[in-house]
Amino acid sequence: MRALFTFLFISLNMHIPAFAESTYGNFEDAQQYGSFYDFVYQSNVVESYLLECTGDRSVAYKFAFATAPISNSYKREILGLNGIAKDPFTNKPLSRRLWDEVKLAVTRKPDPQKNLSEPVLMAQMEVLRQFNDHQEQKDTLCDFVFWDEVTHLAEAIDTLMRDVRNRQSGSSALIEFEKEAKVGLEVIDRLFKANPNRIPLRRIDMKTNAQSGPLDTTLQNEQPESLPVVMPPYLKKTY
Amino acid sequence: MLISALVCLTYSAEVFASICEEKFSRPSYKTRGFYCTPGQMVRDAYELDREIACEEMEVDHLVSLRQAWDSGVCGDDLKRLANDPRNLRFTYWQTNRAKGYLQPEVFAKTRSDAIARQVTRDAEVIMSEYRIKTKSQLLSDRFLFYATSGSKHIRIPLASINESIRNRLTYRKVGEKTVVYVGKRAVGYAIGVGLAIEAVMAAGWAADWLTSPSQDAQMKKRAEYFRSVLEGEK
Repeated sequence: MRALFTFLFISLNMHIPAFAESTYGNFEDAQQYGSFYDFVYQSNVVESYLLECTGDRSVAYKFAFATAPISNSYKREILGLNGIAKDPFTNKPLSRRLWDEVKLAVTRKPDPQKNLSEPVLMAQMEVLRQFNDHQEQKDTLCDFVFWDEVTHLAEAIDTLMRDVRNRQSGSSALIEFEKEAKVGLEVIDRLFKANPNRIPLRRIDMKTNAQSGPLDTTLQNEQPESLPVVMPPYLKKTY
Repeated sequence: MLISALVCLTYSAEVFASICEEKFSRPSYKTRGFYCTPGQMVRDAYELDREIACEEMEVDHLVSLRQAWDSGVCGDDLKRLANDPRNLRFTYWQTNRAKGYLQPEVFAKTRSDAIARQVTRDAEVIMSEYRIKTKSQLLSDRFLFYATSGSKHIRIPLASINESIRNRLTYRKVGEKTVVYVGKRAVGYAIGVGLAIEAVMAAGWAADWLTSPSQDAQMKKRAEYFRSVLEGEK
């Protein structure tokens, strides 16, 4: 027990300046940083949504455990970092990051001054902010906005994989990374395909709409069409 | 297997993509080489009194091109926005990458007060001129679309609507129809004579929600559904 406290104390007080070695720190360039940042941010948005929308930690954890190997093997195989404890964005120790996350989960008060360079916390705060600000729109967030976020996650993983393949073409690191990421990619793919709202929306004339108020022109221009509006399967019911 | 999964992801994302006819792609714009030379110091637009070396600087779009595209700013208008000097900010590369396509008002909250005010003020001007919508405005539009389009509307007598929701119903005359709202969300249109509304023709997606027993039950249903998707049963 004492050893655990000593470890936590040392970890919490350890301060390693981020990116001491080079401009891009653990990354080759800004593009690599950006693609990994977007993926980590977006997968945490989806995980936080799963928790808020189901109130069931086991569902959120299922997603987290399936997708964690993607970022862990990325750190190890692509960035060459040892161990999952090191955070390539801030170099903060794991205990410090977990402490920040626990604090946020308990207080549920997003701190707007938090550092942008922490994608996990930023994502969790953004989701909390949305749920705090729109409490009576919870269904809207869960049954529709959630699926937008899943789409963004699909785009983010697509960009990340393209970037990795360009950089590591034919390398053993790439093969290893793809092997470890396989299950996580399949989970994201399944979630993406489960999105019931994938319909084209281009018939809304947003510009006209913006000029003459949000309601009138939309309805006049946008008479009910035969486009199917699909509802999430868990909302389906036979009348 | 992996490749086909990714091809599928990309393709599906395109199907979902929205108002502009073309898929989102970033128009070309002048990057750091046009504005400074290596070694030269540049003022960071998002940090008070901070100067950065040219080679660590990136040109950021204050209002992101993605947010503009989501609002229907396409083609030449998007190119104009990408190169509009009022929308360009010099900042540290890391700030630019982490900002991503955060909305200006959300990003502003991570800055000091003076910078936040300026970011918000400048963004409002650009958003108004290019008719770029906030996330919540886009959401309202989408719900209006969901509520009024689709071939299947379901008649739900007012009395069958969950009481807590029924008390929050509001109505707005739009063209020849009376659109029914719950909070900011349009859920369908009203049936009745004059002010005597007797039922709601609810959009398919809203029907069950309007009559559902409780938030807890909804959450349980969602949990079951997500679990089955994540486990590969669906």
